[in-house]
Amino acid sequence: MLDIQPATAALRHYDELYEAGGLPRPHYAPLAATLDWIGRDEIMARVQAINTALLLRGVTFTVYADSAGTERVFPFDVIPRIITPDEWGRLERGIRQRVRALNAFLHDVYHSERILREGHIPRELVYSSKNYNREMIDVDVPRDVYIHVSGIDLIRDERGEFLVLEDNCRTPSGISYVLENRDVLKRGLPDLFRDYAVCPVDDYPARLLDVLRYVAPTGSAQPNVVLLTPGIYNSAYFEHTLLARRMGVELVEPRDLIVVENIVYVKTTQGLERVDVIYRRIDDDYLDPLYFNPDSTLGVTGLMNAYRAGNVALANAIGSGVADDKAIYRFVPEMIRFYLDEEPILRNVPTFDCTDPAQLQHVLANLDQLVVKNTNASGGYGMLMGPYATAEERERYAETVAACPRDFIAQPVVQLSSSPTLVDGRMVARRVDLRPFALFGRSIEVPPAALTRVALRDGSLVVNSSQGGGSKDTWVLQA
Amino acid sequence: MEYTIDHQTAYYYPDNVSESYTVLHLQPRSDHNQFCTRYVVDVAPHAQLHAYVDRFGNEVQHFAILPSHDRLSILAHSTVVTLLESDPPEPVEATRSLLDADLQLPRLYDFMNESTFVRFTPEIETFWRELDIPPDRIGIWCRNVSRHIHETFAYDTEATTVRSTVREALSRRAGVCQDFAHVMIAVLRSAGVPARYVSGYIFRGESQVLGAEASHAWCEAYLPPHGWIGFDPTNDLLVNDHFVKVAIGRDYRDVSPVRGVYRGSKHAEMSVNVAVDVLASAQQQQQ
Amino acid sequence: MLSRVADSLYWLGRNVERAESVARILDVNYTRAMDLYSQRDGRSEALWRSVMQCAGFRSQYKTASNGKAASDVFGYCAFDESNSTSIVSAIRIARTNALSIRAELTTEVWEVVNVLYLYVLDQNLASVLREGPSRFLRRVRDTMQAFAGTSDATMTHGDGWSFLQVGRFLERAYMTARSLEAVDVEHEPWHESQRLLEMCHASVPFAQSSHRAPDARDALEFIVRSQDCPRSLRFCTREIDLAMHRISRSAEGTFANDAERRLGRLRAIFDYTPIDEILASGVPQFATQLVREYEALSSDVQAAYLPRLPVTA
Repeated sequence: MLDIQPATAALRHYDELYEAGGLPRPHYAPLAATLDWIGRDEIMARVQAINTALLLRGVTFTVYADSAGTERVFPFDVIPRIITPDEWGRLERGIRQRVRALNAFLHDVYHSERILREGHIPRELVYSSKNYNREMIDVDVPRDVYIHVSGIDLIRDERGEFLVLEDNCRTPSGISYVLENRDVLKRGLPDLFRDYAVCPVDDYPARLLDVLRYVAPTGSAQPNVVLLTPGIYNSAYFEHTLLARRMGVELVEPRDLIVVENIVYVKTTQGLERVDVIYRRIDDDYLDPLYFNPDSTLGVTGLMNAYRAGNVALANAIGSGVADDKAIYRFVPEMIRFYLDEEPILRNVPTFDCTDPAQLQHVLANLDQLVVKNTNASGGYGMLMGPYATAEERERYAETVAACPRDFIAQPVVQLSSSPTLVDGRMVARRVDLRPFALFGRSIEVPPAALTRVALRDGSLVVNSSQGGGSKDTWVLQA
Repeated sequence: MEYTIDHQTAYYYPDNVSESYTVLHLQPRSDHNQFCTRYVVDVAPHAQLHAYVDRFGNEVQHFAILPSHDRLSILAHSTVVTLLESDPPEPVEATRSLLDADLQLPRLYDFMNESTFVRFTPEIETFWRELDIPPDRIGIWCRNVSRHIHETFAYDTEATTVRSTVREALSRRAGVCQDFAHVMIAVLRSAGVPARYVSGYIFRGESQVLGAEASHAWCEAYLPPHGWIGFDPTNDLLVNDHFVKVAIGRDYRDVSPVRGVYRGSKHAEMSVNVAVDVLASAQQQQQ
Repeated sequence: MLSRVADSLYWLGRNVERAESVARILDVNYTRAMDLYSQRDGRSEALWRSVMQCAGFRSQYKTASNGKAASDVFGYCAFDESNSTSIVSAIRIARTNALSIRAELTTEVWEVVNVLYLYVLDQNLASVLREGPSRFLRRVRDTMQAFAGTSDATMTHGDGWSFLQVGRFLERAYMTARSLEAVDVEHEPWHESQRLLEMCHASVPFAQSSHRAPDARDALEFIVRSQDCPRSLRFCTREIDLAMHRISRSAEGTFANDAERRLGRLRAIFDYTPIDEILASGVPQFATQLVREYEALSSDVQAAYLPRLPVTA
């Protein structure tokens, strides 16, 4: 069954399944045997049942580009992606280090600006970032934590080394797929787990709740935590409901909250109840029309005042997006050296700075070999995959980049690693990335609950759900 | 000089509103050019005031009135002593080379780039090309910009609104103090001179200055070795002891005297009344 | 519980009940209309007009011909998205409310609503009429009854469930009042009272309850005052009252808000006032007054659980 076809793109990349000699890597061998034993027909029947379960559970996301706002099931591939304890150990250390530095950076840019004063990062880059939030200057956040939840996107280069592709320091989503994928796979194909000791993922909500309680500003023993969602039309609404339910906290919309004398309350049938911590899944711009986007009808008026007064904790902190600006990304190794006096454990993908005239020239001249990304977009929107674009697309894109270089960065195309994947009943190699989540409370933890996204189209390197990507259950093996 | 200022803002909402949250930039600053000795705000219906200092050093108050109401009145009363000369010296020593060498410069990003109301439209550059190219002596050039705006713009309360941009004021060559200040800021910034927006009051006295009936606005330029120098393009004056500074920011949006969000119909009537009076000094009373 | 969640549970309950009621009313009348096809005395027109009135269509409804009338009315009441009381609208609203309180519902309850929603998305007027509307209507009614069972069996019977009950029984009482208003019992007493009983799902209970030859007035009394029939006005109003008291934790016979006060007054009418006195001013007048009462009750219920905004002292 695992006798898979090679990917058509004849480019060299790291194969998660096979070693150079054509044998399965040891940690995949039992899985291969089990799949053979179950047999193709049976697996296809199980896949059918699993997909039905996902649809009924409503494990969906909303596609924005689609005017009808259609809900779709995020395609799930039943073949797990396996990570060894050694690989995970290194990732865990690398991510902890990175998140600690990013958090220190955020505190610094909103307070003493040491890293800017000492010239390690150009001031203009920070001040011109769309997510640098001036209302946060000199504002102290509870326990100095800005990035309570982050998702660090990793890819494996041709040699199998994990590189950081981007940091997500605002409201990274995807954990619901991790939890649901594991749940449906355990029910739908329990045999796969037979020869493995896989780290459980289902304590993630409890660990997240610990973090949220830890940052409660009131010191109350039973802080009131709520999860703030924009509402049912948000693409990650399913995730918001799932996390709220598993944490046992109220899922609130902005209209459920009201600020009275700088204190946030939730409107209940028994009257107003004080809120201590808000795990918010709404962008900064829409949080408070009094201070941010005044045209927003979403938002909790006066929230910024309550936050500034220290009466409520927000996770993640307002303004944390400046840390994941794609133009700031290339300075993260520098941050690690500056704040922690350590060498980065995880490397970045080489990145061209379009604000530098010489580098911009190089980028424009070599668009056919580069990936160009908008510094303020995510989800694979507004990106150019140079080698796969038409000459006309590249030309149009070049004009946009030249007009506003600050908004773009460029990177060489990294050949993502491939993982065995079921497509139309056949096992084929498809490219994958990895998004572990870091939780920052008392300390920084990286629960073994990571999302593997897979590009379901042959040869595609784009794994985003909005661009035809799917997901896999990710097995971090116990040491 | 010592002034008392009464600044009254009143709103009438014929359709009733609720959950109104208001932010005030009404408290005069205390710095080395002036000192605010008294500041009291009365809000009706009654509300509890909260305060903080914003990133520009402005003293900000805010309050909320949650139940349904049809009126809101804010009366700010302050007393300020101004310490500037009545005829301050021209910033003749300011030069481009001193500015370029200034260590503060990298921190002034916000006052050198575009902001909500201050946009570098092509019209801005065309406008200042009517003057000489900024020479090394940029202090003098700033004075020329102020005079040029004063001479070529009409003071017209009907030409623009509080939400008007620099482009609109420029195309009509008309506006009020807010527009004049924005145009001057845009010109200075696009020429590489740090400039910020100031809201405050001007004392009418015997002279016929414009902008005294409500809060006033002008522009400050960063001109080493003098530091921040105030220019009032509406009256073509260097800021003197007749000016009371309330708040500084990138543009009007950062410092609008009364700003708010409420639930209810957009339909509202607003009136503003400002009275600036000289307080008889202790010395004069003895005579 | 969040005020918004209470509100959504209330509207979820109302819309589930509405979809079921409209489906039943359509089913009953569609079958009855078949008996009238050959007649040209305007009875079929009156029948469809009364259905439109039940479904919330207030302005004068003009019918073309009998066959056309059936599909027009059916289209309006079942599939018209601009009609907020159509089956499709009710299911969509119910599902939107369920989605917005997804975290409060059990998986089973959510799936009942979601599966029906996915089903009606696939249906359209032409195909439903082609195969005969019974199957479609049956599916809607079955699912909505399954909702009642599933919510009773899987949800904690706390405040959330009580709000759901308030919504369900208020809508049921409201639809019964609307049916009473729409059906002209005085014009053709026996025939129309039978139709009314069927529309209220009460013809068999009524037949069983009666030991002598019943007349139209007995039927009306049954619909208004039956102790046990789960669609009588008295029964529904009692259920709303009990649920409201469970939520407010106030003792029965007292009131904690305007909704409970109104419920007490209504219950006194149904419990203690003789039917002749109730109907003294005429059935349609009484029915119209009731429709208004339930509309006012709905506002009272919503007001009772939105917190008042504090005034600065």
